[in-house]
Amino acid sequence: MRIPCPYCGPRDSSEFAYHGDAAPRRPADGDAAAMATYVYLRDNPAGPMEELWYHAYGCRSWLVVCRDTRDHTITGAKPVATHGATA
Amino acid sequence: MSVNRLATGGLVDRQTPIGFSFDGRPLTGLAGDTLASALVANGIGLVGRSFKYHRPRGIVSAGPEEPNALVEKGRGAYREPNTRATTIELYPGLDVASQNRWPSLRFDVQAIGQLASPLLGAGFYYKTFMWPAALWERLYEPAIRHAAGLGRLSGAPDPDTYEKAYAFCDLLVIGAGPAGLAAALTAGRTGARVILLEQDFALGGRLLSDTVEIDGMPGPVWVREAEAELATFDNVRILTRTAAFGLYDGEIGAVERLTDHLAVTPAGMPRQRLWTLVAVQTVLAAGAIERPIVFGGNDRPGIMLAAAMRTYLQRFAALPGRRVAVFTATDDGWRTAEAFASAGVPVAAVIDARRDIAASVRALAGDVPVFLGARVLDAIGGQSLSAIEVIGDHGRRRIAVDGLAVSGGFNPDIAMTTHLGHKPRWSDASLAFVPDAMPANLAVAGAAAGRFTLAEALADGARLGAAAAGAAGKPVVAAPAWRASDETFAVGPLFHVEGGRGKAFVDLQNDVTDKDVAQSVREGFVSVEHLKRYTTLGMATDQGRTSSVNGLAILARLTGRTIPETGSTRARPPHGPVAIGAFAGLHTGTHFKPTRLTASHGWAKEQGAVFVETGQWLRAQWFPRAGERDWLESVTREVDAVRSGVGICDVSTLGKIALSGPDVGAFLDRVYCNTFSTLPVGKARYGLMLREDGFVMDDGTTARLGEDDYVLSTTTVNAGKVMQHLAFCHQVLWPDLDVQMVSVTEQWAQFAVAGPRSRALLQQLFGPAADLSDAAFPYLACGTFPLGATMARLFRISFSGERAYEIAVPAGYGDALIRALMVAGRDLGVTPYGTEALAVMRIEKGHVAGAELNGQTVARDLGLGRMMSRKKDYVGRLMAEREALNDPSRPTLVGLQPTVPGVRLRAGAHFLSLGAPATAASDEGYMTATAFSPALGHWIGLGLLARGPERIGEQIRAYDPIRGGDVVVEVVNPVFIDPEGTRVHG
Amino acid sequence: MADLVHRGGYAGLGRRVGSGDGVLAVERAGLAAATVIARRGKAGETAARLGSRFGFAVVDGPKRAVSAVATVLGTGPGTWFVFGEEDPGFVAGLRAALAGVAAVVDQSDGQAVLHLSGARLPELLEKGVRIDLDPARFTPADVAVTAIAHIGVTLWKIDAVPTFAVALPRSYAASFRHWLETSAGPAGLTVMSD
Repeated sequence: MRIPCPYCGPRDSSEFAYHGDAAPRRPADGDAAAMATYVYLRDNPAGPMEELWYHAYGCRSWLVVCRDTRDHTITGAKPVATHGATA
Repeated sequence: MSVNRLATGGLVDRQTPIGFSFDGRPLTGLAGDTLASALVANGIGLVGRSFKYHRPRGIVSAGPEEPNALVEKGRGAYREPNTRATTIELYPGLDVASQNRWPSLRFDVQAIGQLASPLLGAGFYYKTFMWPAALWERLYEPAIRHAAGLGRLSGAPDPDTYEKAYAFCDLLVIGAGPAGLAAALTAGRTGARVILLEQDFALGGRLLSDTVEIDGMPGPVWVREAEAELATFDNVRILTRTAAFGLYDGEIGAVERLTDHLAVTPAGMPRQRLWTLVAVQTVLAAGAIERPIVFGGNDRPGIMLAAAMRTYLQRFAALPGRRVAVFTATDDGWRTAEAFASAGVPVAAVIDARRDIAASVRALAGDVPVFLGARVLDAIGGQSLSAIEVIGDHGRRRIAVDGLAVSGGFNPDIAMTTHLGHKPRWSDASLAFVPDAMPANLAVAGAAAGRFTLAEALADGARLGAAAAGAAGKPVVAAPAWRASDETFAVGPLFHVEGGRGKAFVDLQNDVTDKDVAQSVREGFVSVEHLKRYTTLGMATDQGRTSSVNGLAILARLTGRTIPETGSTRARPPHGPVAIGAFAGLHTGTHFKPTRLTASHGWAKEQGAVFVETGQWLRAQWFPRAGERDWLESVTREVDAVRSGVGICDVSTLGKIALSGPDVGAFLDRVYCNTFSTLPVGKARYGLMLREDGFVMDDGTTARLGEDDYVLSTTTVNAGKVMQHLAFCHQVLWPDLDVQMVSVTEQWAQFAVAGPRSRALLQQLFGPAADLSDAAFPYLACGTFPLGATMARLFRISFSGERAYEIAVPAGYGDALIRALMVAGRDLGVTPYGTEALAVMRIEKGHVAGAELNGQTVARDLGLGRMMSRKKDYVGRLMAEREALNDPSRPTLVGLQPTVPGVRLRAGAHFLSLGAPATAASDEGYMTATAFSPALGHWIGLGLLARGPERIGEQIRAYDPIRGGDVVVEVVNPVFIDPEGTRVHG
Repeated sequence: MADLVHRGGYAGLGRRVGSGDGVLAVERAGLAAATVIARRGKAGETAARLGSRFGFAVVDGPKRAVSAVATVLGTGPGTWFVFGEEDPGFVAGLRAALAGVAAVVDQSDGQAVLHLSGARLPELLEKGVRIDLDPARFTPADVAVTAIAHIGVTLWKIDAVPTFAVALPRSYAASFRHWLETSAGPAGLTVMSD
C-alpha cells in the first residue's frame, strides 16, 4: 500500500505507523466521561475514513490519511497541523 | 537423439545435449528443453503417483498449471518438493525424483488403496476414523500422512539465499505472449518506462508453440524481432523467469528465479529475487489455460491438454505420442491434429462433441477419421494409455491410442484480477469466466480477457500499451497495426462425460472425482465454497487452475443452476507457489532484524563480554573472567565491585530526546505525571509517563543542561514508541506549544559510573577542570565539562542506589572514553558490568523496569502514586483516577524473600495465600523479577501482589508449576538495600 | 585529563567483497552535522536564514542545497539536516545564526555517512530503496528520508553519475554493511572507511 505523504511524496505503508480514527478529539475540560469516550469508543465505518498515521521512517509527521476501509483506496493525506487539537 | 525427438523443427538446440537424471536414471535432453519436454522426448510418460489413490500419472500440461507432473528437485537440504516438471528448465546435472510412490514409481504398493477407494471419497477425513479417539494420533493420522500427500520436505534449513527488490514503472506488463509483447512494444517506443514480466525463460507465449504468423513472419521470428527491438530501449526492462504472484494494494508481487536453471550458482548470487513492483498502469496479459474434460479414466498417462501437445511438438520437437486421438469441444483442438500431421504422425481420430464445425476448422484434420457429436467415454490402460472408448452416432467404438489430446475450452488466467476482491463474469460466448469489475489501474489484454485470437491479442496490447504511454505523458504518434494470420476459437459446452466405467477426475492433483462432487451435493454442500472445502477440489498446489470450472459446471448441473448462478471461488495470492525464503529475503537468522551496536561494542568484545539482545541493541550482559564457573559468579562479582568500589556500564542504548523551545516546561508537564516546569538549569529529575488510558508507559530522567536545552531519556526498548508518542502529543494534541524535539540517542555514548569510588574515578578523568565536589555537583546535578578535544555531559543519577554518575560524550569518542575510564579507574579497581548486574542492583533497590512497566500497571501499582501531580492536567490523569485502578486489591509492588535461605526464586511464579488451593481463582499476583543479592546472600524478588503494601511480613506461596517450584516467601519492602537512600550520597 | 580519539561509524568495517568493483562505498567521517528545527511559525524565516548563511536558496521541503562548506537537506516540515565540512565551530556558528528562529541540535556523531558510486549502484539501491530513483524523478536537488532493510536512512544524490550519499544512525552501520554486501552480491563491493 502506498501513502501519499504531503512532505515526502508517495511512500510504502511500511514506513508508517497506524494510530486509528482521526475523529476523536482529546477533551480539554477534565470531563472523565468525555475522556473515556475519547480513549475507548471508536466508530467502525465501511467506507472512506480519516485516520491518523505517523510517518515514522520518513519526515516524522503525523498525518490525516483518508482511506476507504472496504478496499484500502487512499484518496489523500494532509498534515495533522490543520486538524485541530480539541473538540 | 532421444526416442521421441523429432529430427527437425522446434526451438531446441540439437548441438547442445544436456545430461540429467530422473529417479536416478541418466537421460539426455537438449538446451531449450524443460524437464517435461525432455521426459516427453525420452518417451517417459509415467512421472508420478496421485495424491490419494496413488494412480499412475503423466504430464498434463506444458506450463505452470501442471497438476500431475510434480517432482522433487535436488538433494539433501536443497531438495524442493512439488516442483512442476513443466516449469523446470533443463540444465546439466539436473537431478529429480518422482513423488508419492513407494517403493518405486512403476510398482507402488499403495496403489492398492484404490481398492479401498469407496472409503476415500469426499469428506472422508471428517467421517472416517472418528473413534476410538486414542487411535487417531497413534494410528490413523500417521498412516494417512504416509499414504497421502505430495513430496517430502528436506527437513533441513533452506540453504539458499534470497533477496528483495523494488521497481517503478509507467506500465507493467504481465506475460510476454503476443498481447504482452504488443503492449510493451507500443509503450516502449514512446519512451514510457515499461517492465515486462515473463514466467518462462523465453518470451513469446503461444507464439513459440503455434503455427501462426504476424506480418507474414512465423511466430518465433516475430518474437525474436520484438525482443531485439525491446532490448534497444533503455526505458524497457524485461524480466524472464519472473512470475507475478499477487496483486496487492498499489503494488504487484513477483518472484524472479535467478539460479534455479543453473548447474553452478555464481558466488554471492541469491536463488530468487522477490520483486515489489509499483506501476502507474498494469496490463495483465497472462493468456489462458486450456480446460480438460472430465470422463472415465481421464487421468491415464498419455492424456494431455491439446495445446500442450502442440507445444511439445512444435516448440520442443518432442513427440508426446505415436498414435494420438484428439477429443475436443473447441476449434483449437483441431490445430493439434494439424500439428501432428505436420510432424508426420497423423492422429488416429478427432472426436468433437460439437456437430457444427466451420469448414476451415474441419479442414485442419485432413483425412483422418472424424467423429462429430461424439465423446470419449472411457480411457483404458494402466501405466499408460492403450485405448479410448468413443460414444456417438456410430454407437461405441474402441480406438487404440497411446495418447489423447483434450480440449474442453480455455480459462482466461484472471486470478490476479480477483486478488483485491473483484469478481469475474461468466461469458456464455467464451464458456469461461472473464474479467468484469477491475481494480484501478489494471487492464487485461488478449486471451486473459477472453479475447483468444491472435489478432485480438495484438490489438488489445497495442491499445492498452498506447493508453498507458498516454497516461505517462508519452502519447503514441503512430499506433502499430500488426497483421495476424486468421484463426477461430469457437467452443462448445462440454465439461463432463457421464457414464464411463473408470474414475472420472475433476481435480487431478487432489484426486477429486465427479462422484465426490455428486456426494458433496447429496450431503448438502451445494455452495461452491462448501464444495471446495468438503471435497478439497481446487485446494492443491495448482489452486484449481485446470479443475475449478469443471467442478463448478458439474455442481451447477447437479443443482439445476447455471454456472453464473453457482458462482466461482475467489483467488487469493500467491498465484503460484513462492518459497517462504523469498519473502524473508536477507532478513533471516541473526539478520531477521537490524542489530544496533554501541560505541563500546568493540571494546566489550575484546573484554570477552557476553551479549544480550535488548530491542535491536546488543548489550554486554556480563563480563566473565577466567576461573568463573557460571554467569552468577561473574554477575555477583560485578555487583560487589559496584557496591564496594566502582563499576562502569554502557547505558548508551537508553533513548535520548533533545528538547528546546519556549514551551518545553509546559509540554513536559503534560506528558509526565509529575511536574517538570519547575526543573532548574543544571538539574535532572525522574519522570513517569502515562498512556492516555492511565497506565504507565515509560520512565526516565529529564535533565536541563541549559536555559533552552533539555534532554529526556527513555528506556531502551521504548525509545521509538516514546518518540512517536511525544510527536503525537506535540503535533496532534498541542500544536500550539512551541517545542522542538529530536532524537539524539545516536549522538551520545553514555556510561554509568557507579559506586562509592565513582567520584574519584571521574575526578581522575577530568582533572582539575571539573569540580565534582558534592557542593558543586550534588545528587541530581547535571552539567557539561571539557574532556580532551570534546565536551562531556555529566549527570549525577543512580539506578544502582550507589553514588553514581552518567557521563556522555559524542559517540565518536565513545570507544576512547570507555578505555579512558578503565585507565582512570585502574587504581580504584574499576570493573565493567553488564545488564545482568544492572538488573540485580535495580531489584535490590526496588526500582521498576520492563517487567513491571508491562502496560498493565498504573503508577499506584508500582508504589509511584505519589508522583501523580494533582495540580495540573497531563496525559492519563483522568483515566488513572478511575475507581478500579485505585482498588487496593490490585496487585501492587512488593519485595519477596524466601523463608528458607538458599532457596531460589523464579520470575513468573504466582502468589497464593498459604492454604489456598492452587487455582486461578485464588491467584493473587506474580513474581516479576528475581535476583541473587550478593549483599544479602540470598535470592530476592519483586512482585505484584494483591493488597501488597498491607501484607508486609506475611508469608505466602510462590507457586511455579511449570518449573516445579512451590516455595514459601515473605512479603517485604521492595527496597532491599539502603531503604533510607543514604548511599547515593556515599 | 584524558584526550580522546575520534572514530567514525564505519570504523573497522571497511572491506572488499567479490571482485569489489561493482559498487564503491566511501565513508565520510568527521563531518559536522546538526538538526535544525524551526520554532513555531518560523519555518520560512529559518529557511531564509539558512540560505543567507550559506549563500543558496533553502526551501521547506525534501530538497537539497549545497555549497563548498555546507549541505542542507530537508528532512521534515520545518526541519533540516545540515552537514558541514570538518569545522569544530560549525554547529555553534549555525546555532548563533539561527538564534531565536530555530533549535539547532548537534548530530555530528550520530550519523554514519557513506558515498556510494559504481556501475552497479542502481541495481544495488533497487534492493533496498522503496522509492522511485529514476534519474528524471530523483535528482541531485532531492532528498529522501526513508528506510533500507528496516534501517531509517537519509538518502540524497550528489551528482548524476550517479553518486549517492546515505546517512543513517551510526549504531546501524554494521547491519547496513551486511545489507550492502549481501545485495551487491556478484557485482562486488568495496567499503572504505577509516
